[in-house]
Amino acid sequence: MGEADGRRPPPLRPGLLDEVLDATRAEPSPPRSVVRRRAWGLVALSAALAVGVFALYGGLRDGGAPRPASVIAATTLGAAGIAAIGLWLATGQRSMLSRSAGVLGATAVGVPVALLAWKLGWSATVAGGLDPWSGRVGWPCLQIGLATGLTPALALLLVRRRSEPRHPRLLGAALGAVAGAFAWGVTDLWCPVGHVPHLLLGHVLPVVVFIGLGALLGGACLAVRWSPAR
Amino acid sequence: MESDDRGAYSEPLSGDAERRRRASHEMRAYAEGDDAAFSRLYALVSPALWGFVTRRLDCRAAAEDVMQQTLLHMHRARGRYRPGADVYPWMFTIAARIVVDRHRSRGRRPEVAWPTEALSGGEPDPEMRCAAGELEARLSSAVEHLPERQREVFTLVRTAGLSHRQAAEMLETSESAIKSLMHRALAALRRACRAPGEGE
Repeated sequence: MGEADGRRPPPLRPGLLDEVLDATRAEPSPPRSVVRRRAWGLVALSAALAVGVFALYGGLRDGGAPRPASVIAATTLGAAGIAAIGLWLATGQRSMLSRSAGVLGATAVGVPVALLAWKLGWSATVAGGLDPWSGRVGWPCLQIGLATGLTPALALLLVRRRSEPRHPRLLGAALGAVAGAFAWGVTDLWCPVGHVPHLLLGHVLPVVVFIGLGALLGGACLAVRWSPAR
Repeated sequence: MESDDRGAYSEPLSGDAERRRRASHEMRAYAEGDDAAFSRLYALVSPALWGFVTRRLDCRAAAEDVMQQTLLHMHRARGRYRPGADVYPWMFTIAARIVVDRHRSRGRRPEVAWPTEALSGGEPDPEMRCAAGELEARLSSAVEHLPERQREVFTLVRTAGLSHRQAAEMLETSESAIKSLMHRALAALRRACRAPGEGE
């Protein structure tokens, strides 16, 4: 608290508004329609890159065949649903303030746990679904996960940059978890393996990487900061 | 330019429901591309924001800097504004964060303090010595000596005009905790403002 604390504040300087308006003109900020268009552009770019990576690794032909189509659909749609719920938990409130630290932290932790549980649950319904596959340690899945999740992770951080006054790291971690869940869905289309060590390396690790990346970049680029240059 | 020079203390309803509704309306208009709405928004929120930052900073330059940067952050976020969202808790949270970050970045170096005449609201005035003035001075001192959490709640609710719910949202606690802190703050202020020798 400053020396002025508890006392009548001095009058507001009349010229301050003009200075603020000058500062806003020097740093144009797009209105909502433009921001929304850009956000959809980033979503489309992320989806296109995910499809590209998926195709590059052979699409459904290489890995998806041994599973029933219903299981592929359930695990992939489940991952998409978890990503959507995670996104809503991280950013879906009506207020301009972010969710509480508890909700953001629970989102970051809960998303990979929910994804793993969902995958294991559905894999268990298929005979041999949880068995190890010879030669499938999980490295290609790790590559696919990292390649497909990077764009949505950066896009989410870009859309929310310099906007979080309370929990930038936690919000970044939650957004990273959402990007990881998106990547999980794409990887899941490709990979039929339900063996736990494989899932931990190839499927869970990319999500954890994006959570860490989100927390790291969130502190740097999501936070509202005082700028000494002004 | 419509800035209100009276300051937050002489404007107890700076954050009242109607003002908040209008601020949300102007922020929405600004978010939708009406550039002129920013000046109207400034006129609505600046007295409360100024009162908020001057309670936390040691000099005019610092307070003006934080005020400008807070408004600039709101400007940057115009495209992400959620229609109907209350501007005040968001604005105060940004301002509080910038104050903390500023203190941290500057290593809490002392800055030039407010001139005495600015603190007393202008030239020395005999009326300031009247009973009301003395009471205000005692109240101000009592606010300063409140425990930090109580002082924060008192400032948000009484100076900035936030509702209990909004203060709870901003401080990430429950509405009942805010009511309890406010109750304790008011009790402490009541005790402190009693004239010496005055009984219960």
